[in-house]
Amino acid sequence: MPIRFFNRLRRVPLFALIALALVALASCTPHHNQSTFGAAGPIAERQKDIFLLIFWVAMAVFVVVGIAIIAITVRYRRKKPEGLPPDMHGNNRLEIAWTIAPAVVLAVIAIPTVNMIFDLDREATQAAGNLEIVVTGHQWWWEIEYTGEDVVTANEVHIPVDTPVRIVLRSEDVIHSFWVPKLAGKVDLIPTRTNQLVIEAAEPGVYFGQCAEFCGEAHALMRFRVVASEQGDFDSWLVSMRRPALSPDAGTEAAAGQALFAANCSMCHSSQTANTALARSEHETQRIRQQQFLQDPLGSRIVAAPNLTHLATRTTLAAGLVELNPDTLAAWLRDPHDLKPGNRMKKLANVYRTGGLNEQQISQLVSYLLTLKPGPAGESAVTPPVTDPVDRGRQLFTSSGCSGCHATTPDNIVGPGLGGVAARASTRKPGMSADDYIRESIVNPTAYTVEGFPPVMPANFGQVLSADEIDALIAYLKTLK
Amino acid sequence: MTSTAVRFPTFVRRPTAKTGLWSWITTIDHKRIGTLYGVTAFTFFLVGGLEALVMRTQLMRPENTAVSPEVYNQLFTMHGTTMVFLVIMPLSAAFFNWIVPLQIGARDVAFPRLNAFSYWTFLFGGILLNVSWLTGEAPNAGWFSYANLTEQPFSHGLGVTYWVIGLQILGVASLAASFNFIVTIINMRAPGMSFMKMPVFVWMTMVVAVLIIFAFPIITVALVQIQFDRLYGLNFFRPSAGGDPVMWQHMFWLFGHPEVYILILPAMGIVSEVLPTFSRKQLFGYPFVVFAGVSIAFMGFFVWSHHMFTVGLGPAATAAFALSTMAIAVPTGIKIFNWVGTMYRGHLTLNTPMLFAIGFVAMFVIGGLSGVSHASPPTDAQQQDTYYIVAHFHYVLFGGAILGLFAGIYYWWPKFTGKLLNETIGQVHFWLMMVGFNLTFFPMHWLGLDGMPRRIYTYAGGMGWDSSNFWATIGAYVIGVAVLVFIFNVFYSRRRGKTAGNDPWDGRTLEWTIPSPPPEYNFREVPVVQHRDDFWYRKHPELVHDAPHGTADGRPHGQISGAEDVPPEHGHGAGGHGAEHGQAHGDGHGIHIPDKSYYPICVAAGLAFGVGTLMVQEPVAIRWLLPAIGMGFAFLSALGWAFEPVNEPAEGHVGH
Repeated sequence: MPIRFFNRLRRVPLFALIALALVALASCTPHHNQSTFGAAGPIAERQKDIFLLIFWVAMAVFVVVGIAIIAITVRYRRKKPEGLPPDMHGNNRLEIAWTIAPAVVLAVIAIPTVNMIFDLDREATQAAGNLEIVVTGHQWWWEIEYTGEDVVTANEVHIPVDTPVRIVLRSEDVIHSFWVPKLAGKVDLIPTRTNQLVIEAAEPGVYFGQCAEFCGEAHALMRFRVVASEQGDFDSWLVSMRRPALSPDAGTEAAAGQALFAANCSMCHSSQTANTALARSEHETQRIRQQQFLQDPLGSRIVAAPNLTHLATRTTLAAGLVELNPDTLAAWLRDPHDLKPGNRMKKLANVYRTGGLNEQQISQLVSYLLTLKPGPAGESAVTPPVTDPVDRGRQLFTSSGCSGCHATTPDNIVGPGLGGVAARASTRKPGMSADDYIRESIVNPTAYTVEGFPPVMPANFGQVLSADEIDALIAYLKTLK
Repeated sequence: MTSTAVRFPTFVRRPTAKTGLWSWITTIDHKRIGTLYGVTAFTFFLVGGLEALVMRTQLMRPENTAVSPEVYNQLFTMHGTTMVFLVIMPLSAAFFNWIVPLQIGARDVAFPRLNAFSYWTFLFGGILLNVSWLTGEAPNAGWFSYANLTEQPFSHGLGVTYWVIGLQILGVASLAASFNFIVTIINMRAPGMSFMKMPVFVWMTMVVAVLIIFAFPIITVALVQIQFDRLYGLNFFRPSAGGDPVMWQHMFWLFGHPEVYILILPAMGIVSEVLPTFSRKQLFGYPFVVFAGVSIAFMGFFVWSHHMFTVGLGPAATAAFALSTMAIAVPTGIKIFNWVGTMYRGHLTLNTPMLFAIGFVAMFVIGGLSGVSHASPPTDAQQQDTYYIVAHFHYVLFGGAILGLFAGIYYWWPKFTGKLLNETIGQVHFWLMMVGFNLTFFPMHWLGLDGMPRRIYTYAGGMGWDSSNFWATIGAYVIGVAVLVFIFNVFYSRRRGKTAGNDPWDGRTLEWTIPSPPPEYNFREVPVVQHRDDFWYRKHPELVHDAPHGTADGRPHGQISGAEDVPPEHGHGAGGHGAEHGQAHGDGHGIHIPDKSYYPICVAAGLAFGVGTLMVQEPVAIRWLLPAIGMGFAFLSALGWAFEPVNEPAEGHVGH
């Protein structure tokens, strides 16, 4: 009898080993883009280590209990009931033993766990002295601000390697979760609070991330990248983000695209935050766009949308969804819903409600968007002067960021729509001419705020723009109907 | 009830149909109600399973377009909500209903009409939830519907409102049933059956009922709050107005975590019956198994924020919940070890119910161990909201609860129907289900650790997730085939099943002492109990000196108590619950069975209609009219319920 039992039992460890091997083989794929086993930094590494501790403990328990179940099932099977087995009611000492033993095993897991909880929290707070990045979650993209550096971008986080980077997490709408598995576990972005996370990359690379808290229709498509580079490269990137893009030459495809962009896109998409003043006011601008959207989710024509400053330098489009290249850009503009079902661009943007863009317009916009990258070091943003003041004013209207808040039609975005402003401007303040009123509105916005609009216009245009430039703007604005 | 009592509305006699549709609508018999629960729950199981199959089909390949994201989000919401509230809970209720009175030697539950009311309320709530599919607006924010995604700007339309209203109706059903079972178990056990002589299944029923009573009010409050936010413009969870979406999470999980113990403890109770029977050996460590069950329920109220480890509650709270969550593994382990100890040195019959019970133990060990890995917040930060979590809860809910419930189905089927389910087909069902289940859910462990979040309708190619998802989908279809095999077994056995007789398994507990199916009155004579597993020890008196006694009942060993010192069953209330006399040598008074009633379904319908029509917001002028009609009807029906006459008031008399 015992021999037969052990013969059968021989096979059990073999099966267990095979199963274990399968599990181990299948799960050790650290090269996969979002594998938690591919830890590329000390935080993810420590989180992985504590997982492995628990895993091996659990595996030991599983093997012991599993073998017991299988062995007992096999050993005590009776094809025909014969007599009665011993009527054991229990064994108190065993009960105590198998109460204490698991408790001890759990203590082995609990101690490093509690230590790591407090360590990670302390490190996140301590990292506050370094680089701080504020990530604000939106449905279904990521707003990224380097607050001390006056840099704003979207969907792609740049960090230096070997530095614990503190990420501050907020949300403007619903709950999201910031997760870049190879660098750290996730932390949620919650509208009523500010959370923090520290990430650190040990090697340069592009790390894949994804939203990990269900946030609505396009949750599956809310992804992002973390680009870790050597400190020098990171510093250059930061500086380049503050260098405005070159405005396209007049008459080019890209210039036509710029006009289209100003008229159709700039109410939701900022593109000029290389300008420091605009970078500082960007978060507020986004917040205002979001408020307007929330007041009328179904009918609004504006919503907070990804910042497109230096879009052409990014690796992906549509929040980590596809690689960014002319074809994907064109496909996106043709039908945003096709690429990212659920996203709001097609539902809200006026141009799509009135027939969409034709192929020529798409091509012009793509050309323009591809010019959105830092200009060469040492030059200003404004292109070689254009002689006609109205043309010059049109250029300045976009490049200075006016189009981010003011439509060229009577529609209101953040600020009043400027279609027909010439007529209104002469009547706003008694005794003040239209030209003077518009000039005052540009250089001293808080002197008079039109009722019903927030007093958020940047107050430094007077320092940023020359007198000629302001005249050009006035000339242009007076042509708007 | 004498003729001087209120006679409203005595012109309506109690229904008397014994067969046909009307007899089912007016039934108050716990056995019929159990069958109603079981059939309805199983139908919802098929609905939920279909929802799963569509989801798995969509996920079979990366960037698949079988369904839109909108539909997918509705599918995963309804799948989870259905399986939790419309399948596992009511299937457990089917067993509470059928088995608890039989195992405690009672003729019915304490409040038979309330019992029927619970079923009809559950049915109407489940129908309301699923009607949403027909309107194209099923709930789509997940089975835990986090605020503030569920607030109107982000979830306009009726979808989430169906969920909010439907769950409130279902909550009423669960609460009513819980009160019923607690009173039944406390008051109606057969003479001699102390608490420590009750079958473990009865213990787990009582523990689950207490869990429901403490947990459901919490979610009810939360549901009312989100309902008021969505329908009447309040701001409980709206950040813009100072509300806090995290409060929803706290309230939901304060309910939600005890809820998962509500889901698993009945199956654990079933396994605690099946394993001893087919080991021909008493449950090892009965007091410890019972106490572990009670501990799990109690401790289950102290772990809720382990669902919120990534919310940023701060290190102190996070560490506290990590420790409390790890602690709950201890009583769980105790149960597992005692089950294995039951089988040890037993004489095992590896038939279908036993295989499902052993399968439960094995699968639950896996699910429980992955649960321990979630208990550590640093690594949970990588696991939360990924397929690793999906794997965990399917191992404990499918590999655990569902397998345990199937064990109960195969085990008690002969008692319910008088016929055995076919053993060969049953084994095919079991093995197909084990293969399919593991093929579907085991790969999800590494999908999650490989970075695949949950609740995503599609995923990118090139992430390394393709083949695991493909095989998981194949596994899901295998599960589907296994379920079809089971359905075939049911129909096959109806006609060709072997007759069961009273005691096909050489059972241990009281339900096996009566015919299969039992007569309406269950026990001709109320049994007198001396031992735990009393029936077994009556069959095997040679074991009696080893028999467990639990708390002393004062009786000497080995004696059947005489008729004279048997306390009578307590009398009936206004509902006409009959009085019985437990005399061992038969009684001369006839067994009084409670009359059927129209009112439970009427109150349930009125309540469901009244609450359900709160969803109708247009036309504004009369939006309170339909709810008022419903609640009014419910109220009048409740009056009828309170005052309805007994059919034969002259015969039934109060026990003495």
